[in-house]
Order: sequence, then C-alpha cells, then structure tokens
Amino acid sequence: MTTATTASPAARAEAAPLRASLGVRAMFGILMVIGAAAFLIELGSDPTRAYAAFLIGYFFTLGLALFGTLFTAIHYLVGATWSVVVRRVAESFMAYFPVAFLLFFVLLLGVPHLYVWSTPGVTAHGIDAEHLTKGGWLTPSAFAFRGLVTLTIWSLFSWFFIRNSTRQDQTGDAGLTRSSTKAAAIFVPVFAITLTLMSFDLLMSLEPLWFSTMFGVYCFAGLWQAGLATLTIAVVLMRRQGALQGIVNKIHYHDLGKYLIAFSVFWMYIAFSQFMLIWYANLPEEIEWFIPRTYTGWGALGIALMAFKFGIPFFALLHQKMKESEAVLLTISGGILLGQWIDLYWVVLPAFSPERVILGWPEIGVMLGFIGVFGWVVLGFLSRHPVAAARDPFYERSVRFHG
Amino acid sequence: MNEPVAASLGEPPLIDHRKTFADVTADVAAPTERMPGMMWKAAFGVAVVLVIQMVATIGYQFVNGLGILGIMHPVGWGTYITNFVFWIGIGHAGTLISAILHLFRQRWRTAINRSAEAMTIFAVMTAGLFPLIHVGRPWFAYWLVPYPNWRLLWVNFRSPLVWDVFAVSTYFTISLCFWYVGLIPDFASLRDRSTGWRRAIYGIASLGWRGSERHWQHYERAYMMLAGLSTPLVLSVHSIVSFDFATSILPGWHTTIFPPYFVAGAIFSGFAMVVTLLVILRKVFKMEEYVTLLHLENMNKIILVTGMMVGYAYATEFFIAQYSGSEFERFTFLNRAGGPYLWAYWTMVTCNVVAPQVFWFKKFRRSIPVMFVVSLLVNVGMWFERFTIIISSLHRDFLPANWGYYRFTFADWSVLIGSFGWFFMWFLLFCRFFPAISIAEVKSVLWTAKQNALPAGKRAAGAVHD
Repeated sequence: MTTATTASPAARAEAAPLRASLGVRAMFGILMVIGAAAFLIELGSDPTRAYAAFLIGYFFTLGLALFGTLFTAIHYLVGATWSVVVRRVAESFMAYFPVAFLLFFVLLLGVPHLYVWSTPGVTAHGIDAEHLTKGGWLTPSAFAFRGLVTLTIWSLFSWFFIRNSTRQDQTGDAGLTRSSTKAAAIFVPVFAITLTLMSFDLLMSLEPLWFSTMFGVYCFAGLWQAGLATLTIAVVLMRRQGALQGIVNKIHYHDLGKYLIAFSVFWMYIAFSQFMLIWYANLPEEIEWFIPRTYTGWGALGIALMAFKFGIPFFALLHQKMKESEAVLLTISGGILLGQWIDLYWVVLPAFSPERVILGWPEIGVMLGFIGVFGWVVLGFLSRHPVAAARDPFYERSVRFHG
Repeated sequence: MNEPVAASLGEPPLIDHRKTFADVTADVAAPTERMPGMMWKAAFGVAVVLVIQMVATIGYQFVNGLGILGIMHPVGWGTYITNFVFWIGIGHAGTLISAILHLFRQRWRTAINRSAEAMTIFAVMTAGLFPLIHVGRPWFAYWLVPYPNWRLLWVNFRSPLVWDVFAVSTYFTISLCFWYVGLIPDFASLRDRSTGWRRAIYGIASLGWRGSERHWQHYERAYMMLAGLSTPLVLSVHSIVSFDFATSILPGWHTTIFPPYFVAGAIFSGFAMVVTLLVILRKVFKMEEYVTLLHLENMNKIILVTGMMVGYAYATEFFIAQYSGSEFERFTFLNRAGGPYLWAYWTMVTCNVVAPQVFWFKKFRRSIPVMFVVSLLVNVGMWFERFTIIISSLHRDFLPANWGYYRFTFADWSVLIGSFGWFFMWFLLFCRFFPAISIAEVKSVLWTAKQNALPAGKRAAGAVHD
C-alpha cells in the first residue's frame, strides 16, 4: 500500500448521483423497443431462432450482472484499495438481477424449443431418453428449479452488497465493510458451484451428448472478461461526462488495462486448453461439438473470437501508455464485448444450424434489446445513488492512489 | 484514511517499526556468518544419508533395469511420475510469490520471496531427476533435446512429453535468473561485511555491485521484466505437465479441466511447502520478526482458496463422469472412490479439501501448530492426488484381463524418501550460505523507509534518515 502525500484536502472529490442526459436514456429505451419487436416478430415465424437469440442476450447480460457481484465480492475479500472508486459502478450492474429474474420466465417458455432433452420422445437421434436427460438431471422442471434457486441466491447476495454499500454512504460505518467481506467469503465458493451448473444447464445442455469439465471455467473466463470491459467503458464514459472527474485517475485506468490484458490471456488459456485437449484426443463424443464450430463459417467466427478476445487486446494493451489512453480502452473494451457476443453466438447457434452461419435481424435486434434493458437499469441505479462509494474507509486512499 | 480504521480492517505493519536498516542486514546475514548449530548439522546429516541411499538405489536400478520398481502391466507409470508431478508442483509457490504477487503489489511478499524462490529451484532440481531415471536408458537422456544430428532424427514435437522438456527447462532457467538477480544486492551486503575467502566468493557472486543509482535502475528494470516473464510460467508449466495425461484418451486422465486444475493444485501444494519450511526456518534462524504471523496467515488464506479450487475440480470431474453417460468414465471415478485404491482417494480428499477448511477461522490461520499440521497434511494429500490420478486410472484397463494392483517395492520407497533428502540438502545449504530473506526488499517496507519517503516536515519523530 502506498502513502499518499500530494493531494490536498481541497482536491477531495465529492461523489454525486449521475445526471444522465435524456438522449442516453432515450437511446436505451429505443434499443429495448427494437429488441422486443425483433423477438416478438421472430417468435411468430421461427420460435427456436427467437429463443436462441434470447438465450444469447440473456446469458450475456446475466454474466455482466454476475460480474458486478463477483467483482465487488473479490475486491472486498482481498482488501483491495485501488478499486474502491470503481466499485459502485460494478455494483450498479447488480441492479439487473430483478430483471434477469423476470426474463428467466421467458426463457422457461423457450425450453421446449431450445433443448432437445426437454422432449426426448420427439428426437430422432436414436438415443434413448435415459441418456438424453442424463438419468433425469435434465428435465424442464429440474431446469426451472435449479435456475430459480440460483437466481435467488445471486439476487440475495447482490442485494446484501448493495444494501451495505449504500448504507455506508449515509453512515460511513467501517463495520459494513467487514460485514460485506464476510458475505464475500461465502459468495465466492457459492458462485463457483452455481455458475458451473447454470452454464451446464443453459449452454452445455443445448447439445446434451457433449460434455467438458472445463465448460464452467470457460464461461467464467468469458463473463469476467466481458464484465471488465463493460466496467472500463462505463468508468471512462462517466469520467469524460464528468461524474467521475477527480475521482478516477490515470493509475486506475492503468489497473483496469492490466486487468483487461491479464484476463484476455486467461480466456485464451482456458479456451485453448479446452479445444486442444479435445482436438488431440479426438474422441467421437467430444469432438462432435467442435466439428461444426471449426469448419464452415463458424470456423471463421472462431478465428474472429480469438482476435477480439485475445489477439487485439493483448497486443494493443502491452504498453503502459495504451492502458492509460481513454480512446484505446474504449475501443479495446468494445472489441472484447463484441467478442463475448460472438463467443455466445458461436456456442449457441451451431446447435441449431451446424452447416451454415445464420445472422440476421432477430439475432442483432434481440441483442440490442438486451443492451437497452441492461443500460437502462444500470443508468437508473447510478442516477439514484452516488457514483462512488465515497464513505468507504478506503475511499480517500483509492482517490489518491498512485500505484 | 485514518490509520486506526485501517488497522481494524486488517492492515497491521509488515515489520516491527523499531527495526532499522542496519538491524535487517545484521539479522539476515547472521546465519551465514556463524557456524551452524547442532540442529542444522543433524538435519543436514540425515538429508545427506537419504541422498546417498537414493543414489545407491538408482545405481542398482541402472544395472538391473526398471524391473526393480513396482511398475508392472498395466501400471507403467508409477512413483517416478507421481514424484515428478509432485515436485514440479511444489515449485509453483515460489514463482507465484516472486512474480505474481510482485505484479499485484503485495508488499508482504518481500520477507518470504527469497526462500520461496530457492524452494522453487530445488523442487525443480528434484523433479528433474525422475524423468531422467525413468527413461530406461538414462545415458541417452540427451535424446530428449532436439539437436541437429547426422541421422536427421528429431524428437516427436507432437508429444506432450517433449513439451515438458521445453517447459521445465525454461521454467528452471527463468527461475534461476530471477532468483539470482534478486540475490545480487544482498550478496554485495554480505561481501561488505565479510573478510578473506568469504569476501572473495561473495564478491564474485555480487558481480561488482556497488549500489549506485544506475545499478539500482537496471536492477529494478531487470527484476520487473523477469517478473513479467515468470508470470506466464506459473500457468504454463503445470498446464503442460497436465497435458502429459490429458492428451491421452484414458478415462481419468483425459478431461479438459486438467490444466487449471493442475495449476491450482501446484500452487496449493507449493504454499503448503513454503509454510512448512518457513515455520521451521523462522524458528531455527530466529527470524520471527521478519516472517511474521501476518505472512503465514496470508499464505494460509491462499492455501484455503486453492484447496477449494482443487475441491471444485474433483467435484466437477465426478459430476461430469456421471453426466457424460460414458460407462468407462463412470466406472473410473466410482473405482477411484470405492475401488481398491479408495484409501488413496479418501486420503487425498481429506487432506486437500477437508483439512484446509480450518483456515476459515482467523484463530487457526494464526496458530503455528495448526498450520504446521495442515501444511504437512496438504503435502501428503497432494502427493496422493497425483498417485490417485496416475495409478487409479491405469490399474484397471478397459478389459478386466488387464487389471492389476500396483505396489511399492523397496526401490520406490528409497527413491521417494531420497528425493526429500535431496531437496532438503539443497535447502539447508541455502539457509547456511545465502541470505534467506531479501535484505534489500525488506528494507523497502520498513517503517523507516516509509518515513524517509515523506517530505521532511511530515516525518514522525525517531525515524532514521540516511
């Protein structure tokens, strides 16, 4: 930890709620309308495609909300001080959980369209129901039960972190930090188990014969990287806009940049390990998942995925100056988010169209809709609460942070 | 922020604020400047005896062949590979402490990085023995290295065993450089305090270090670069070790989670070994003021976290074995937990997943007897993890005709015990002749150093200024 010497008390920044312009709100509102329209129109003609697009957007935004909880938890747990100034922004992502809870019921309506195990009698794969449902693990009611329990756990922890943090805004009580730290210690292992099961249920079971022990870690790597990119974008935009001016400095940018580069390497490491081991062993029950995804147009998307999630961020962010540049951070983070979308797209859609890449208004429109909902909710949260946890015991140290 | 709040949230000073720069040099240099005590001599004697008996067994094996070991059909990889993976894993804590914690600005690492890095180097030296003595014709061990030869024979670059040669030799080289660069200023301190032949040796080792500003500038830059180079090695080495197993199609070996699972396990076992060693070292060499309960507590936290990571991997493997629907996968895991090697499996689970859970409580994280016992249990558990993975997956092949039960022979025991002797022999020599704590880095976290960094008016009374 460093001892700050230079900043004078007069320079101490006050954190206030965000004053978002009407234009930004309107933009998110329009995106929401586009998304709803695209989903409903496609639902009439091809429900499977509509629900597949829904699943991509749902997992994308759910991952961002979950990142908010995990980022908050981990930074409490390790006693990090540098990140206190950006913690509130991460906390705002958690405001999406009630919406995610409601949208899960829409996903439940899509289960018969998305998952072959839900109607085992119908499939003509010549595979018995016992094998397809994994002996009763994959049934619509079990899927709904696990999903709702998991979302409840995540929502409760998120509510608790937000409650403590916003209460501290009023009282400045250091005991609240201690209480959140304890909750964080419980949340992190709970997260590992619940995310793994959720990723198996929502994504891996799209092709129920395929399995990979790495899949939970793969989904974690993706959502953590995408969350960091979203956090970076939000922080940079809010500093430009003025809300975080005088609170976030270049060193915080540098740290966010280091985070981005480190986890682009981590994602590539996990993705490569999963791919290489399956490719090398070439067992029929495993390789069948990668065959459509590495040939045809999906293969090209796989390359794009590596570029956006690893190649570009890694080389662009090597130099310290680049990590501190707002323009670079915004561009690279945008690329990473595009990569995360391609990733989920590349995981989900070959299950329905192994031969040909399908991309059209349903996929793009629904994704825009999810961005709209997420942005709307986050903006709402930040307009109600100060943009930084200004009475956290480590806040001043974080503001004056100089590495 | 105000310091009482910081202290209440768990940020005590790293080192007692009364320590001066001169104290640090004197305390750390002391063990190298006096004859070691009876404890050291006895421990060193035992270690050397263990090494001698191991060398005798290896010699006997070279003459008589690998048949003297327990390996048989279908278990072709036995203790040697178990030991190899175990010792490579031990090394990881040193690299994590020196490189990753450095990048994470964890200043508490300064008191423990030197000994942890030394441990890394000796652990890799121990691990390296096993593939060499396992190759059957060890006098051709150099064939592992790709070199231009007149028969145009190359190694099989697609074999993960060859990747291992690259990974481990890179790891050893970088770790050695990193360790040595860190040692240079401290060797110079020892040189300046000593006379005669010791002065000459430390003088050569310190490469003409004078402590000028320019020297420090180059030093810091080299140190940072080596930290950056070492960081991917923490992940890569044990990932590639895991590929030795996971690229095969054997149930129990072939599973995609192996790379991060092995890395977490390596860090886990490595930190347990660091705790074991430091608990002894700080007592024997009276360094309790430098390696404090805070350091040990932090390491115990890492043991708890990584212990749960390996627990996660065990659970995921078991779940997916069931989920996969493959009868071979299912059998392999049920056979692990309930077959003839269930004693090894449950030893592993108890030591690696259950035992570290005591570290949820601060009282136990800071209790020397508790952490010592847990660290030993974790070491045992991690050895059994590798044993379970290797032996239990091999001993019942796809056809029941190829089923067997692997047992240790005297040679397996001899080499396993000898490997500990070999490791401790080097570590004891290190404690005797090297500064076991990084003098220069510890000085940078002293209260005095922090005071000196403040403008003159703000320094506390009593701070020493150079």
